[in-house]
Amino acid sequence: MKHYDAIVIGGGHNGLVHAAYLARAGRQVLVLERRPVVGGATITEEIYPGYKFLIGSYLISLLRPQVIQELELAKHGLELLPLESTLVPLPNGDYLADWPDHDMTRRELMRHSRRDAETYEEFSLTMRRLSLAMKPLLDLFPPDPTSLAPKDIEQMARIKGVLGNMQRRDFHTLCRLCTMSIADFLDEWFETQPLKAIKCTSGIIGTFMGVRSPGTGYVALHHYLGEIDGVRRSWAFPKGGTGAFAQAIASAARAYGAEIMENAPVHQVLIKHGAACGVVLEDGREFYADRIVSNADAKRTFLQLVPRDQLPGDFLWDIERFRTASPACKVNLALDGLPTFSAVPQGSEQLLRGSIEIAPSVDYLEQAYDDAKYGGWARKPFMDALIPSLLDPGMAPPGQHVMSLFVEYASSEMDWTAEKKAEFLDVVIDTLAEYSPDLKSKIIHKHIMTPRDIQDIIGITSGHIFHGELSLHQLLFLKPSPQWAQYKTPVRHLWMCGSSTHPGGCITGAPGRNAAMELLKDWSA
Amino acid sequence: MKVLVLGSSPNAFAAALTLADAGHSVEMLETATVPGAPYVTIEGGEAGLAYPHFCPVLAEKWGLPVANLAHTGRSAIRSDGSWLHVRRTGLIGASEHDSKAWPHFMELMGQGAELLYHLYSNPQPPAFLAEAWRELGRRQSMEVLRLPWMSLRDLLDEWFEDQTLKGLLAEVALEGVAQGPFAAGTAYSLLGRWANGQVLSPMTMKGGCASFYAALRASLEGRPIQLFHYPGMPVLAPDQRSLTVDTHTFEFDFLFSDKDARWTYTQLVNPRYLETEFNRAIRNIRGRGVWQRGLGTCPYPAHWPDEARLDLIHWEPGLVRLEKAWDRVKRNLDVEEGPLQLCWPGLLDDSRPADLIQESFGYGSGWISAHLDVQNRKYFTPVDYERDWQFTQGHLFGADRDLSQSFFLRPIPDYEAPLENVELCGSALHPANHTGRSGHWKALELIRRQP
Repeated sequence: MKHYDAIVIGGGHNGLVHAAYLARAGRQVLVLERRPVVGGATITEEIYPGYKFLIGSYLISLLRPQVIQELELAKHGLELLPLESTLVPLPNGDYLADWPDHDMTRRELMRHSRRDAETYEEFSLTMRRLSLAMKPLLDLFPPDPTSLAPKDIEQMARIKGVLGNMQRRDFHTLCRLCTMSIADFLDEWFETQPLKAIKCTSGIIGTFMGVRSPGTGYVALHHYLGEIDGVRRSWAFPKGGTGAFAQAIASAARAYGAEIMENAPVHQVLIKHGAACGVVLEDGREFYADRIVSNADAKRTFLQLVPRDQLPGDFLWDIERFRTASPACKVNLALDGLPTFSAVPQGSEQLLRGSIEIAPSVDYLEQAYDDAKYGGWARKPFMDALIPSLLDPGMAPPGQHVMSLFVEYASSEMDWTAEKKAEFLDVVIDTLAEYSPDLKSKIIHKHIMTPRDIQDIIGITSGHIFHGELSLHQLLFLKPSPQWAQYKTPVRHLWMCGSSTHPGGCITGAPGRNAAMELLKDWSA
Repeated sequence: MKVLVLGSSPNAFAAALTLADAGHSVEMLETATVPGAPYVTIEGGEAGLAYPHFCPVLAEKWGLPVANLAHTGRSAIRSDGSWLHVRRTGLIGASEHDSKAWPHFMELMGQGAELLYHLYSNPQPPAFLAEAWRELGRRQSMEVLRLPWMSLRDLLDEWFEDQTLKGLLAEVALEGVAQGPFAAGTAYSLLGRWANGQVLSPMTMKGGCASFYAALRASLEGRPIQLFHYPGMPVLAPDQRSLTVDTHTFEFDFLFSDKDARWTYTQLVNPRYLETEFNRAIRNIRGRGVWQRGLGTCPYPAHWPDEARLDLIHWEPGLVRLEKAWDRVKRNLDVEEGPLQLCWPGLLDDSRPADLIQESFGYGSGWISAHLDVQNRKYFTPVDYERDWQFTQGHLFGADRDLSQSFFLRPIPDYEAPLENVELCGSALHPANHTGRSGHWKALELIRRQP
């Protein structure tokens, strides 16, 4: 039987990136994917023939540019279509839009508040400086602050350097932003409700916290770290959906010589003399390798795939307490024609080509959280909607459309029966229909992924899109366990490369890449 | 040099005493209706903060009494009528799991609190802090590092299973804090209280806070300090050399304001003299009083356990109760059954009436009357604190003490007194409490500059 250098458990985008980097360095790599298609949560599925649904992720921004360049993803078919705008339809029939083009946004804001239009300039510059300063942290492995090993000290010095190079004022703003709620932070800058709401949303994406909970400021900053083709803070839709993006990495990985096996659910990691040496699949097949790398989330890896008796008690406790409660659902609609939004004036339909945020006010968002936080769902959920078929007509049959809705909040901790699922889907559609009266008449198919579905179908614990909450006590050298934050684990030769590790969730490719760099260094040492 | 100290909290006294000891002539002026705030005792009951908490080093220096009457611990009544007693030595009436976890939890909190105490008792982080942290060992030092950023819910869920115990600890942490236990950073609040020794057995003294205030006043005798009390709105002269309240004018070379930063830089100093950027930062200070205090007469119920007589008693505490109360408060709605704590200070201190009941409750008007027959009930709300005590938005520390407004971010990031002879000296500054430290440190700073 073939012996591999490394086996990657799970073909999510980080697993594929990881495998591609290892294969690129000349290693024999095998990726084992549970489902019939690779991509994990970055998939496009034709649940109903002809309509490509984005049942997991839907946009790309934080993807590290190095990953695109180093793996030559463009050659493998990755095409990014930048989003042109963000639209917030308001209950009063008006709207607020935000463009990557600064002047257009300014002109639009003037319509709402002259003061905000002026502050907007300064706000954007501040956020831009902060994200520029923070960006190097994404690509470094998290040092252990208690360690006196040279590499940790060197890395700590780099972090100190990053913070020390900031202007004093920016450093203070950074400290405050990380410890404040995003709503409080924005209150200091703006007065227009929808503008505050639209900016608040980046603080709660994927996060089970309300806009008024401290900690959301950091999450917002995390989302500000993105760039597309060098344009900061912009989002893009990969042609063919995020699934096409996963296929591009898979294709790159294969081109470098990696083997990718679908329909290969891993049952357990094989451990011999305290070191991982292979995996056994659910059908009993066994594969052996020098290193086993898990792209699954930390809880799934250590509470399901590794025998408990192989792990120290402290570490198990760290993993058990790692917070993964998730508030996010994904809804996809197949539509017979483009829905109209009452807030969008005739002739301005191009606004629908961007993302559409159902987030009319800060209180609306906070209420949505309050409804769900005791284990329920928002009666009026926040939604981040996108009509991918406007950007890429291939997503739906001619004349028809698909709509992707990212919906918060609905607790992963509730009992999701089939009736509850249907009921919440109705809540979502009813809420959206308040802004788009003809929506319901155009729905051909509807599909919802609750946090439970994301867990069951995609395999992420609690369906948390970031593989664990992005809260400050679970970041950097505390992610996922205070002592095992450098992609290694207590089991020798078992590594992690998923979003449970630094720098965390979103389609970044960074954990996969960072882990590969560390693993290659470890090998050569 | 002639110095005027505006205010009469322990920090104001500390500033005045430090300056007088260095040979300056000092006048103290209180313009709030009630002097001594936030330590105000009415007929033996505390109307504001209940536990005088002065820096022991300074207390010894000036011969001030130290709080020495300690509550035995905390208790909670559960909705089924059973009791939970929380002691330093252990839990009574808790599950086996929680009882086992308790000593370990105490150890972790103690380690975190000790480090925090060093931060609170020094104007700058002391050099040995990093070493002290490292000495905890790899595992514990990381555990401590995780703490401040957590939410109380996350922290307490990791350790305990009993909702009552979790609620009790969360109530301790959030007393006076405008935030729910689900919000990140609230665990820092608990750690802060732990560092101040106010979690398990807060201490008062004979006669309550009034006797501490009396001792502070007595310490002025024989020193060149005069204390005036003229209620009203002080007006600062445009040349910043004199202050007038009512018909009384005080001239000074230097003015210390013990009032909070927002009050000082909006009510006292005309913002027109200050830079826009500074005014904006002052406006951005967050702090809103949300807790209140009730006093009344009601004997300790005969059917209640003896163990709880000298305790602080929490009424059916719970994380969800606390968070739900906060859900309403943040929308300015009234809360019917918010967090509620009781104690009988007279049982601890025989100089006070034995049937005096002292409540502390979050939000709303309290709901004690549903359970106990309290006579002569009066309560003190943030509105009273703002009107009679001159605390902005009735916040007894002048501003929230969360991570975004602590240490080098307090009172505002990069704070430097904008006027050359007006400076803050109270809880507006690090370490954001009424221990006298900020007053003492600011006075020392002035002495160093102008001996």
